[in-house]
Parts: sequence; C-alpha cells; structure tokens
Amino acid sequence: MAIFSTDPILQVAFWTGAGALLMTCLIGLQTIQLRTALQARQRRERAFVAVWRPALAAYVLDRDAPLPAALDPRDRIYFLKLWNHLQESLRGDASDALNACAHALGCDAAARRMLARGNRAERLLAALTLGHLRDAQAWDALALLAASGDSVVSVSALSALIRIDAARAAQDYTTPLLEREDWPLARVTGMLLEHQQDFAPRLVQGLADGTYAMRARALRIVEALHFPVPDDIMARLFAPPPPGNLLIAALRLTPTPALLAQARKLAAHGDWRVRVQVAKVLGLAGDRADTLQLRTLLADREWWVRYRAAHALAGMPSLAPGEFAALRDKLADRYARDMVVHVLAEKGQA
Amino acid sequence: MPQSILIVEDDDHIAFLLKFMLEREQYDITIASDGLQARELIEGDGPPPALALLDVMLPHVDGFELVRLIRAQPGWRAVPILMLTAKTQEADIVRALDAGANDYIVKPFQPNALLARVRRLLASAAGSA
Repeated sequence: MAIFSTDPILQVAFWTGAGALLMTCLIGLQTIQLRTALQARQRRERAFVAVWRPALAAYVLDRDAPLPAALDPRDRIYFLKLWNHLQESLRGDASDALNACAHALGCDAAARRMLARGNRAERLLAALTLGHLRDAQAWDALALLAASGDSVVSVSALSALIRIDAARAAQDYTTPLLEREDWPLARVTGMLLEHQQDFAPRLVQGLADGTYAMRARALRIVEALHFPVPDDIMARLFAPPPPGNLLIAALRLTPTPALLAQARKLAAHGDWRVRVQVAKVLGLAGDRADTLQLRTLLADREWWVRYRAAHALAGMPSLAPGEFAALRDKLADRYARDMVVHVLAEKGQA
Repeated sequence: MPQSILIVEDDDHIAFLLKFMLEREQYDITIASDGLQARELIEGDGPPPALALLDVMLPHVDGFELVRLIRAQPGWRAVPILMLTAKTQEADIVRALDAGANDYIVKPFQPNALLARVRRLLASAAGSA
C-alpha cells in the first residue's frame, strides 16, 4: 500500500492536516517560550526586589545606608515600579531620600527618555516618576502628554505637572480640568488636595465665568475640597436661576449665610431634588424661623423631601429637646406625621 | 524582651517597610496579610500583641471589623490600635476612632511620625497597665 495517495482530495486533506499539526506545534512552542520568558522575568524581579527593597527601606530611614553598587539597566523598570510604590506611601524626609536615590542612579534622565520614546506603560511610569522627582526639565514633554486624548496618560501627565509646579499648573490647566469630563473627578480632587491654595481661586472664578457644564464640574470639585465660595460668586451662581442639576450641586456646598439665603428662596422649587437639598441646608444652617419652611417641606408630595425635612428638623440645634417629637401631634398632614414617626424610630426615640 | 506588634497590611511592599522600620527599633513583628489571617490571630489562643497596626482597606475583613473583634476579644481589649488610613478617606478616620482605635496615621506617612506614635501608644499602654 502506497504511503501517499495519488487522490488529490486525500492529498489536500493530508497537507491540511500536516499544516494544522505544524501550526499547533509552533503555537505550543511559542506558548512555552512566552511562559518561560515570563517566569524568567518574574524570577529576575523577585531577585531584584530581594536585594533592592531592604536597601531602599534602609536608605529611606538613613541616607548613610549603603545602596547596591549599580542598577542594571535591565532592572530599571523593576526599580521604578518599586520606587514609585514606596513614593505613593511615604512623604517628607522619606520621600526626599527616595528622590536622592533616584537622582544618584540617573533615573531622572532615564524617565525623560522613557517619556519621549517608551510605550504607553513606560510613559505612564515615567510621568509618575518625573512627578515625584518634581523634574522641571520634563515640563514641556509632560504638557504635550497632558493634551493627549488618552484619558489615563493625560491625567497622569497632569498629576506630574501639578507636583512639579502647582502654581503654573493652576494657571495653565484649570480650564482643561473643568472641560475634560474624561478625567475622573475622584482622581482630580485627589491631585488638588495638597495644592488648594493654587487652584481654589481659579476654580472659584470658574464658578462665575464657566459654561454651565464647567460650573457644574467646578461645583463638584469645590464641594469635595470644601473650598470657601465668596458671597458675590455665590450670588452670581444663583442669578439668573441655573438649571436644576447646577442648583443641586450649588446647594451641596458647605452651608454659609449666603447659601442659606439662596436656599430659602428655593423651598418651593419645581424639582424635588432641589427641595431635598434646600431641606438639608435649612437643617444645617437655618434658625428657628426656618422651621416653618421645613414643616411645609415635611408635607411635600415627594417622600425624599419629607424624609430630609424630618431629619433637618430633628437635628436643628435651635429646637429644644422633645420639640421634634411633639410635632407628631401638631401636624395635620398624615404623611408628615408618618415621616416624623419614621425618623423618631430611626433615632430610637419612637 | 522585645514588645510585639501585629501588622495587618495587604500591600507586600508596605508591610515589608513597616516590619523593617519596627524591627530596627527592636520590636518583635508579626504580619497578617489579610483580614482573615488577622481574625484567626485575634480569635486564636496566642498571646495578644503589645500594639496592633491595622490598615483600613483589607481583603475579606476590613480594618474597622478587626477593631471591633479586638475590642470584643478577652485579653485583647486593652491592645492599643493604630490605624493606617488613606489621605483621601477622611471619613475613615472618624469611623476608625469611633470603632475603638486609639490613633491613626495617614498614608502617605512619614516613618518617623509613625514610629513616634507607636512609642507613645506603647508608653501610655504601659503607664495604664
């Protein structure tokens, strides 16, 4: 019997099978090679961490502690990952010691090269590094990245710019901060936390001058960072009456007499979410005279307004102990009475 | 005999750094890398540490729950607790102190400030014993 058939169909089937077998073997070899390379990298990283982590820990506590003789360029990425990890958890002298170590090892220049020529992951690592190093030479390259459409890369570059020179970053980037909805608010507020004195005046100005979308975003940042809003800006924010979402965001600011005055005018607003915030402001900053409006809100058609009004009344310092409980018997509206009972039960006073 | 400190921290690098710092100060360190491991130590038969240093965000059982467990466990009730909280989570500080923690340190932290708080808590615990 012949090994190779002369039948063309069988020949096609044979060579197709042989090709598939060859491809399977090649993919298998490639998988083994990738796996082996990954394991080798992991072994190398573990060996690197075993040497450098105690060295960095000792150096952070005492700059006279010896560092390993040199940093192998192949280990630079591992070093920067470990170094940035420690930088994120340490501050003060410890952070300065880490910076001194990175400068001594030439990591500033290496990070600038990575920022210019590296892949996306390397550019992110480089931006983070240069921010911690407060490397002014990297400003222009980071500014280019901050303008990119890649949300993660651009916000990381902005974070580095703020660390390098917060006053200059506030001047150049307050408007983009308010315009770029793709920059996560939590990340943005975290970045501004330590640089409030530079950003607060510009963000507050954004409340007065920005578009509605920018003002709404500015309000959320101002609320998260508890910036004080001057009375004149507050007045401009409410006149002419802005859309409901903006009103809600404005009423969530830390209550001031100016905000209280605005809230009093909005107790009958058509949007129930605005009335919820009004009840909250009246409860936090209002006086005894505001209990009348809160009692009206206690009979609101919307459950959440009644609930917030009841909590506001229950927590008002100007009401004597027991006055809120006594309201239960004075209210004509059944839903208002039910809400008082509900809140009393929540507070264990039913 | 060195005083013992329990560190509950899931971040390997930070746990190492804390251990390194505290061992330099001659403390005897035990590390639990998640909430479950810490709970086993708290509810086990071993002696309580002189101080517990707890991260707030932990896998399985968080730092607040661990504070509650420590305060409920006979023999552990008087153990001073120092919490490690993130700077962006101010509410955690109030919650940790309400739960029964003695003090807190905010991440990112200064090693010397952490060491000072550890020494102060241990001294006041020794003073009240």
